[in-house]
Amino acid sequence: MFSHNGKISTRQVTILLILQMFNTNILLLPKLCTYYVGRNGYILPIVALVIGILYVYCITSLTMRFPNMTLVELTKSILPNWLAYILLTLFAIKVLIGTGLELRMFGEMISQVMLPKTPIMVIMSIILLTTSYLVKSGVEATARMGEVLVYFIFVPLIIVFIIIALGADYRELLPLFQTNIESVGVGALNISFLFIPLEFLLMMTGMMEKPDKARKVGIVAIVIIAILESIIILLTIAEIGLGETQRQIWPVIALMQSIGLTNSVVENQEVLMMTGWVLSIFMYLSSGLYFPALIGSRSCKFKRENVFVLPLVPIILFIAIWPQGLVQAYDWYLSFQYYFGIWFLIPIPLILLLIAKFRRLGSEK
Amino acid sequence: MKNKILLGIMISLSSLMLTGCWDNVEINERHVVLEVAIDKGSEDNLEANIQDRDYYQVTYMIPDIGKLSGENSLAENVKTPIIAKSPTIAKSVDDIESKTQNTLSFTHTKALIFGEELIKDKKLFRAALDSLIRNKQISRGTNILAVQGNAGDIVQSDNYQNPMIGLYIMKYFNNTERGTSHAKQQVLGNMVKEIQNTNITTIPEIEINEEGTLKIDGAAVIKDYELVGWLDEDEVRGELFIDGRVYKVPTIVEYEGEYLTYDINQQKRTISFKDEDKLQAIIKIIVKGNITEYNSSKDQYVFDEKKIAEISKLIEEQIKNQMQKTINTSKTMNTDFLNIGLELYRKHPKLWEKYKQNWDVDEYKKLPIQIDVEVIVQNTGTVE
Amino acid sequence: MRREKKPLKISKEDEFHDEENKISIELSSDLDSNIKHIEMLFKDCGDIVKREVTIDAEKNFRIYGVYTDGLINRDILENYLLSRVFEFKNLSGEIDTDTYSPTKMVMQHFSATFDVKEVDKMDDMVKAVLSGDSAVFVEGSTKGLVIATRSWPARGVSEPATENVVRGPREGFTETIRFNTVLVRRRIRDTKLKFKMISYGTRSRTDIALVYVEDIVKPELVKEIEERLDKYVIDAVFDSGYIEQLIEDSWKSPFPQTQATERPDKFAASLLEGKVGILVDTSPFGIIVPATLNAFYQASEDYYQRWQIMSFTRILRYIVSFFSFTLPGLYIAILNFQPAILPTPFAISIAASREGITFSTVTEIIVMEVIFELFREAGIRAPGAIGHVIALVGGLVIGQAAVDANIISPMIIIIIAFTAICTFAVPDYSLASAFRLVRYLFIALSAALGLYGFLIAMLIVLTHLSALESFKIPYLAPYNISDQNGARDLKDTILRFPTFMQTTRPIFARQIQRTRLRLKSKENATDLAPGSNSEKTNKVNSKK
Repeated sequence: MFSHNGKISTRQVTILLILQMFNTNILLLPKLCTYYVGRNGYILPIVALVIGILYVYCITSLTMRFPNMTLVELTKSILPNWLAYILLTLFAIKVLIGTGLELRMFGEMISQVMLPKTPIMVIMSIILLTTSYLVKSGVEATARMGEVLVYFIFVPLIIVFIIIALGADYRELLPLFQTNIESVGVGALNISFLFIPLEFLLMMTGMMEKPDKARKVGIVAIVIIAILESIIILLTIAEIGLGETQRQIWPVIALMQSIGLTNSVVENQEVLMMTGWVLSIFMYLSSGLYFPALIGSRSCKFKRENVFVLPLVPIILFIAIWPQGLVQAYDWYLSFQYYFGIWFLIPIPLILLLIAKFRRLGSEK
Repeated sequence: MKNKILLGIMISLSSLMLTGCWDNVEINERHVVLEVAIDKGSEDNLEANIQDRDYYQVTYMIPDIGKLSGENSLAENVKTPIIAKSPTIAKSVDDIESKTQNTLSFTHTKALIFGEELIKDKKLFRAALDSLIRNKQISRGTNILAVQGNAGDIVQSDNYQNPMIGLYIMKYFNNTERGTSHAKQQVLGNMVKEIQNTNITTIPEIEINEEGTLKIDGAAVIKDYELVGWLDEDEVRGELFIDGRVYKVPTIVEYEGEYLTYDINQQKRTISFKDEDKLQAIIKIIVKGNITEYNSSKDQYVFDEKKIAEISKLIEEQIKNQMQKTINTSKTMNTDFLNIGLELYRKHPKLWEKYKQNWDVDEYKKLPIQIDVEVIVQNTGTVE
Repeated sequence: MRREKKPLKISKEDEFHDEENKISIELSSDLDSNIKHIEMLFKDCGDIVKREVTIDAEKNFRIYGVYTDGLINRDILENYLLSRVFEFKNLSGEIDTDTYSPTKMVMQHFSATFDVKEVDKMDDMVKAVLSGDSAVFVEGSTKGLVIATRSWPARGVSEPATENVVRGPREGFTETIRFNTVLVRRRIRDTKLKFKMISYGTRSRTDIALVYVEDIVKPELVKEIEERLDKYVIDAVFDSGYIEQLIEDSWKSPFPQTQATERPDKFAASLLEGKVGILVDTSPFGIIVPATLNAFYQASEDYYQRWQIMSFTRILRYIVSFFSFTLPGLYIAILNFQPAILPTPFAISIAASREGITFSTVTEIIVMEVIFELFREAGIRAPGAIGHVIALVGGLVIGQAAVDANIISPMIIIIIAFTAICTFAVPDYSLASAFRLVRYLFIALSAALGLYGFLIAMLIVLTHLSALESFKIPYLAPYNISDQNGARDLKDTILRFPTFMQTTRPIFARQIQRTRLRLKSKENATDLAPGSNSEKTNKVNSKK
């Protein structure tokens, strides 16, 4: 039955991963993709999928070797304790900074589109506190929340997409495939930071009911996200044109603004998109808050897992208010992903895996 | 204990918010600006501080909501124009705030009307467009119109059908029953897109006659943020034919001494290119429609396949002429507002590379354009 | 719970009662001693009738009967016991005290009813008397006899007041637990249907029945309920609402975590899904646990009518209940923060309707909400005749006059009225009440942060519901546990699938007892859908 064993099902992990990857990047992605390959930007996520699968492979090779172990127990058993703690701290800090910057971008976004006069601090702290309420309810509640939210997120989005898709001018996408392979490769490599939330698999595999499904989960999640991204990029280019996609800071928001259905019940569909997106960011933030807290409590071997949740709230807020304005936040956000994104996706899992193989730890399959 | 701390934070935060309500504005305390007219300002005080120069003259039309809904109200008129002279569009909003009782809101702006002088001024027009697209409130679906003369006069005029020009324009373009043969709708987002794609765009023209009747037909052709010339109604119709967007257009030909009206219901068009020794564009359109007016008698009737074929020929010629006129205008202006170049780029990107350089110079002017028209008469109404 | 359990201490000087108000005196074989105790216990109880009858003076064979006047059926006692005793006395027959114990003796010889049993505690004897049974003490025995003579003043079975149906049975539970168990038993004639009787409340001694189908219910669920009930000692239970609030999972939540119903058919159907029912004497509401949000939307009529129309009704219910707690908040958020969403003509007409109104939209909404709640409360509590006056005053004065006086804008009246109707359309009263409370959270956050606040409120509520559990079943099941039970539970949620497709029991039932509908034999029919078979045979026939 349903007991509090802190285990989440395969489908729940898939949904959580999808929602974590459906974050602020979505709103920027068309801009970045068209920067590399112009009006064929929509192929980049699909190409990036190959790199994404590599990430999944690296991470799950490690985690599936140690079923029922999160990164905390896993590093402790592979590495000497002091090194394990350093690694865990780095991971927690990385996740915290990522979450903080994400929160800032979220705040800027809401501030621009919905609440221009409200202090950004209020916007950010209220969602963070709501997040901490979810996180305190435990991982099972989080997983269930994801499963419910998925309807609330994707139903409005699909409606909006259909409206856009019906009215879009697909001639904008012509001519097809006018880019060289090299820029596609470089672009795909850069776009693959989209899959950074895969690093949460390092923690989540240990909580899965069936850890052996972790690889499948990761792949399913990135395939869905890549297709979704691809559709969004395609629609953005078709609807607002290549030039605007490259010029707008949030091309997807411009996309939403461009569809005004006069005389319908909702004249401005932007809000529908924002709804889905706010809910999705909520799930990303909750993971960003949950896993560092979990690392803390597991490292200290506390029985109560949510001891670290509240102390982390001001830390994330502090990181979030650090950048001076949108321009700086935007810059930091992208360069942070660029420089630190990959560390926990390939090198560290790979090194850990090699050490584990060398020391003959974990289950060989 | 933890719970209490969280509760405390929650309570203090929520009380803070309840006293905050930063963005809370009652709907009747917003001035819903339905139309904005932007003209070029005077050039008198160019020596003044940049803050005080009058590059633009912006007319914001503020409706009285009460009067507009047929209720009693304190306002004198249903609409009040408020004019701001300012160096930038954004500054004009600030100027207006000192002249109105409520906050301006552009969330429901339905029409942006540009004066002739403005679209002749490259720098100002470009800045104005940038300001409008940057504004989060103004929808990208806002209609754009151009005026031969002063835009401010149009919005201030008394239109007997609907005093609010913005609402009039919104209803005009929302009406899907109306035939599209007079004007090509242009919205902000699309215009910016067109300018970015080809540097050329068209803006439908709005005018008002002495009796106070509004008329939307013709268009202003903009190239590189600058007015190139005006198109009349017929030329716009030719443009619509080439765009493939004609719907419910009556075409009149003379057949056996009687006037015959053919109503186009559906249109398909394809543009293809031939590049044998010289590049050639072929525009092929297929129209479907009905004969809606013809004086038929016992020996004069149209319900006959042979006669229909003859009539089709006549209509084809007529449509061809209309299109040819537009193409000629376009070539005279040396402005490819028909997007032939864009079509070439989309279909034959390699070929385009060849002609790209000189397209605006003379390649377009030299390009032979062949027009093929196929007319299908679907029915003849209820009479033979 | 961090608080220490405090025993419910009855007066210290009371020597007859223990801490749980049970009588601690033992039954004595000496009848006189028993009589003395009874006299003391029932001192000043005017409704208790006591009588001593000597059957055989020689052998000193006496009985002593006690009962509560008015609670018993005197016919049974007098015709089938007392009259026989006197008959026997008059005949002065033999009494064989050697082969039988004294109580068995009385049972064998004098009692012409089925329902008589031996009891060996004074506490049980007294409880029986207070419940309407008759207690008979017999000389020389440490056991007493309890003869079922209950005949309480009771309301008959009538139509339930809350969950009315157009199609379906019109019986409702009553205040008498015995009638209620009968109503359930009539629907499930199965030995596996168990009524586990518990006496709860130290003073009220209320009968509680745990009802379940033994081989369907998960045993740990029954155990869990018993453990939770066992946690408390309470003085009295007057309605199932007491029990409901004592056994629920989260006392902080406004959402009901047990389902109360007046309908025996719904009750019985839940039992067959593997849930446990709790019947409480003196309460016409049975409780069903575990409760999920989905269960509150399943009215019993849903299963009696065609699936298309009931699926439509279900969709309607979900939409309507969403509006019942979001609409006022949404109105504020859109009107005051994001008017861009509204179509222009509508925005203009709303703005015009607000011309000349001094109060802010938020104030209007809150004032009207409170006034409406006031009307509602007044309407329920006021005597029937005055109810009409309230409706009149409410509708006319507050509605029309307030609008005319430019205090409230007409849109607000529409919003509040629509919200109210939405609330009434939520099938479960306690769920609707929860929504009524949640509504204020939405109003507050929307007033502060517009649509963003609205979304935050939405997230808070969803988080709460996701975290909430009722007896270890997630409250939002089966929506958020869709890969349990192969997503089959989704067949009875927003859409009510046709009856023949509802082949499995939901997640509450034991794993091995999941099938509830199957084909009798695969030979006659291969397709589950009704009617499809005859079609096939028809085709075959026509070919011939």
